[in-house]
Amino acid sequence: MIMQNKIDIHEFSTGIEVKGTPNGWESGGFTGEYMNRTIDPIPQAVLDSIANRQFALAEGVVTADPAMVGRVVRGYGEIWSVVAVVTRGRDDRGRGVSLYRYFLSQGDGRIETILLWMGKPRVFNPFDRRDIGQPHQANLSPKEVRLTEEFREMLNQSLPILVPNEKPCAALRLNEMTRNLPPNDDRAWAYKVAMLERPEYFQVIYPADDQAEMVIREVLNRRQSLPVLTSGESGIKTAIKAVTNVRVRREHIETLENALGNSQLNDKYWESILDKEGASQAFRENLYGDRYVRLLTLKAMLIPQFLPYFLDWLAESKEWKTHYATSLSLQKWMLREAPKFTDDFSNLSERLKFGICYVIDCLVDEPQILKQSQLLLTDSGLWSQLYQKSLSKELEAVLSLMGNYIEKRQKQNLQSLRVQYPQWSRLLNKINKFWYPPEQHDPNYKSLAKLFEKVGTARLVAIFYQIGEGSVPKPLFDKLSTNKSEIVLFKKKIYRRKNLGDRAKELTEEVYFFFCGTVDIGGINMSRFMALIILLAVFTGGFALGIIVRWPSLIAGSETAQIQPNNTNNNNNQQSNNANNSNNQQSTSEPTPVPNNNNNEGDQGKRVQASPSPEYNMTNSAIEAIVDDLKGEIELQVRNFPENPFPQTIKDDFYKEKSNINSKGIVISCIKDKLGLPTDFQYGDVGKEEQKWAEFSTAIREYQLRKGARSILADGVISLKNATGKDKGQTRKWLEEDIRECLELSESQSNQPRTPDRIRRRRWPWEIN
Amino acid sequence: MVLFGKQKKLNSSSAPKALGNDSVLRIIGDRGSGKTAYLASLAYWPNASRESPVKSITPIGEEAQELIDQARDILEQGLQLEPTDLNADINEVKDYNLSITLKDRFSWLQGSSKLVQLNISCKDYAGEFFSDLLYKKGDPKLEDYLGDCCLARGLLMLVDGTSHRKDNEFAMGMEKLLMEIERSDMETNHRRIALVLSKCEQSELWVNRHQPKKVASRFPKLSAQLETWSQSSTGTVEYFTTSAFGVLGQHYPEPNSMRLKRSRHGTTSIIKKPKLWRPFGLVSPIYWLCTGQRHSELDRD
Repeated sequence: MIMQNKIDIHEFSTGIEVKGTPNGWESGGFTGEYMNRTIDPIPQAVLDSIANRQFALAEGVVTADPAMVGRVVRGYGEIWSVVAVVTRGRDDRGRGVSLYRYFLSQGDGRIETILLWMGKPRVFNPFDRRDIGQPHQANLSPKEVRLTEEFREMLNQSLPILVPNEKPCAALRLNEMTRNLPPNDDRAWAYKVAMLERPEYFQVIYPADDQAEMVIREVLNRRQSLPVLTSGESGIKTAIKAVTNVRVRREHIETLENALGNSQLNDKYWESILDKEGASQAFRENLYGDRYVRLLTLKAMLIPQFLPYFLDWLAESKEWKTHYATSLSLQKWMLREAPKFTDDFSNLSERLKFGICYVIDCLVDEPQILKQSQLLLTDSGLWSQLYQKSLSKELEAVLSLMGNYIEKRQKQNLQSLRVQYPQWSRLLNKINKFWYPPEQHDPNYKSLAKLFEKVGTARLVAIFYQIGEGSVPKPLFDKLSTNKSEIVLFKKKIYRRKNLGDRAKELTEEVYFFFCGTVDIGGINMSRFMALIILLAVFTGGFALGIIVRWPSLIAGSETAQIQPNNTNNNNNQQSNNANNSNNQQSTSEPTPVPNNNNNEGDQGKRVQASPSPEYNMTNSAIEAIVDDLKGEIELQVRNFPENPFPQTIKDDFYKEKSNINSKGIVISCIKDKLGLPTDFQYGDVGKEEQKWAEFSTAIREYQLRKGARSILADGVISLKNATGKDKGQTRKWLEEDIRECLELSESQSNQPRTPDRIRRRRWPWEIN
Repeated sequence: MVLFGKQKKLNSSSAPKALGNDSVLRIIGDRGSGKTAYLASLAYWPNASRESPVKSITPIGEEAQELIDQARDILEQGLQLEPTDLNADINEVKDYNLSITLKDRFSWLQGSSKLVQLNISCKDYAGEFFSDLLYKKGDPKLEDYLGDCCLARGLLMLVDGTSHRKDNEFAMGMEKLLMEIERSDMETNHRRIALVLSKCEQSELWVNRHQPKKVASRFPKLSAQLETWSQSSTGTVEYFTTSAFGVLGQHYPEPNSMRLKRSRHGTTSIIKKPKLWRPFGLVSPIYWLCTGQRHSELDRD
């Protein structure tokens, strides 16, 4: 309280049991409470500072004169100027005891007033009793303290400045030196000290004698690398200790929460303060004592990036479940102290959430932490609560937004999504490629599917099974849809995995539909079953008739010899036809070198096709039709964007000559891409070699299945739109859409000018990564 | 392992085998019984004998490092440690963490040189705690200390071997502590109490250093109290003799300490010849508290 230029100076002293002796008094032990005080309660910031050894003289060193420590203490919204006078007493066991008498006044810049008021140091005196609420009063009369040039020069030295002992100096001058230093939160000096516990916490030190100067210099050199003390650190240390000792209370959690709100305390700071408790050592040397498990649990809470490392550290122990139980009991304890943890402690909750994001991200490459991650998100601990309460929904929302942006090709939005959710940006960067063609999967993502399976978030399980295995196990899929074989989730198609029953059912259906299907024989459309009966009748009837009619000559065996040459001739004719067909096909296929048929004859792996199959013909016609459909758009695209009309996957040989654009070559490149065929696959061979056709047809069938065609309709043939084929031209439609996407053509493209952003976007979206 | 491999230095196969699951200890005792000196000497481990089964003692964390500083800068300089402050907040009490590596005493049987490790965390209570047990009741600070004390499975009760005239007080203090422990235990946990007699470099104690029960018999009431407790509960008690400063000479040993004061409270001394400073018997009680087994090699000179 300030009254007419007067300020209050409070005081308190180390609490001891005073024992009388023939020569005076001695300490009979500490009471644990401060004595002779004028203030109650003592400001917490001051208590923290004392607990943090910011006033402490080192043990063992005895000086005759009292030492003094001056310090401006901040915290809890208050500022206090504090001066401690330290003297040595003795206890009843014959030991030296440092006894402190503290003087304090509220506000910055009161140290000078305290020193002027005190005059000679007022030393510890157990009999100088004081009453609470009865502080000293001092005149607020500033006195100019002048620093000589010699002392001014010292201000340029690195901190802490050690004033040589041979220079006469008063405490007021030390205080003035701290006032002339660049503004800093920590203003502290020590006067006539033999040694300090933490000399690095001071700005100016005046040693008691030459010996003291030497010792202090040595210690300072040894501790140069230590981090600077932060105000409130004592509270943080106490909170950390409480956590490691399972005696954590709500106020400790509050201390950590507030500290996390201080932007100056970065991860490096947390790392260093936890290391003071042995965190890194325990991690490095695999010390699995309960205390260390709790310490590293806390580290994983405060430094989110550490959470996966913590899980890995657990995984390395055979008794990891026991250790995780220790961690879990700490989490539960904290939840008991703060039942509304997520609402009340937003900074901590944010860190916990980020930690989970790091774990999810890490799991892709580090599946060995799967079991620990599953426990982390399922057992009723802090991380689990956070995940269940908000994070799973957030992840689903982020995936939905990503799916939308990719579908609408809103690259900017996709980038802003990463900015908006930095915690998910790494995962988004990794997985967005799965939303683009070609359909692909990566088994590394199975661990994420298994994590979400354990946690019970069905949509996330499904999407990550799809990404990890290319389909979703039936029981899981059925949770999302029971009557479909594919659905769209987060704007990505996911497919139900077929089980044995499905396969058997498919086979039955295929046989059934094969016989129920129609076939065109001689212009007559009839069911295959009917056709089979007729063929059987004709074949067996003709055979029987032949036997009857040809019986005598067959017995003679001469007719067979006469028939043989005719068959050979027929074959020759067929081969020559085949050669003609080949030439025809070559003219319509890609302008890539076609292997010579002659060279293939000796190749046993490649059987020359007698004549192109009707399925091939139908497919080729459909492809020609697609080319016709897209030709205009392709040429327009080349005209409008001559520099870079298509993605890099399309060879520029196809459109280098603007007057002779090979639309079919471009379309076939896209088709190969969509069908998952290698780039060196020669479409020209498809009509010539059975094996190539089989390969091409299989790829079509797989494509049809991926697109969701029922297996009986997935016939490996691309048919025309109005065709009578099984899929009624559906495959062609799918392909046409995919090719548009592949070439980045759109319906409205020819009419609409491209935005600069779209023009720039000549890379595949996953290349953004 | 790509991501994590960079940070790890030790893998579990090369790490020493950790002994004793629960290594949380508390060191209690009267003021001036030598608790901090015991821990500082243990952490510093000066002039270790080659024959000792103790391979190394490593401090973990800043506070344990401070113990080493105290040993080097105070005890080794022939100075006295100051009394440990009685913190108002139990969480501010220093918790010293040490990793003690021992040569496996059965390794010669297995033909290996495998190491075993004791990882302890030990809180050094101010001596006032023990006297407050006697004279204070319902004090919230004392309650906090008692609560914290009960968290430890292993209690190291340090008694200055020359303070036998306070046997009655110690017995009463121990009675109260055991009562509190019994009340606090939800389950009947197996607890170990090591009665460690300190300052055994004093000649009258040194002669019986290998018969700790005999030295403990200087405290008949305290010993009886502990025996009664161990017989009526699931807890066990064991006796040890130690000296933080050790002795000089083997055949005609004398204490490596200079006596400053002797009273009914015990003996106060400082190290006489720091260069010959070799403590005695410090690891043995810790080994027993952690494992429940007595390691005879650790009781040797």
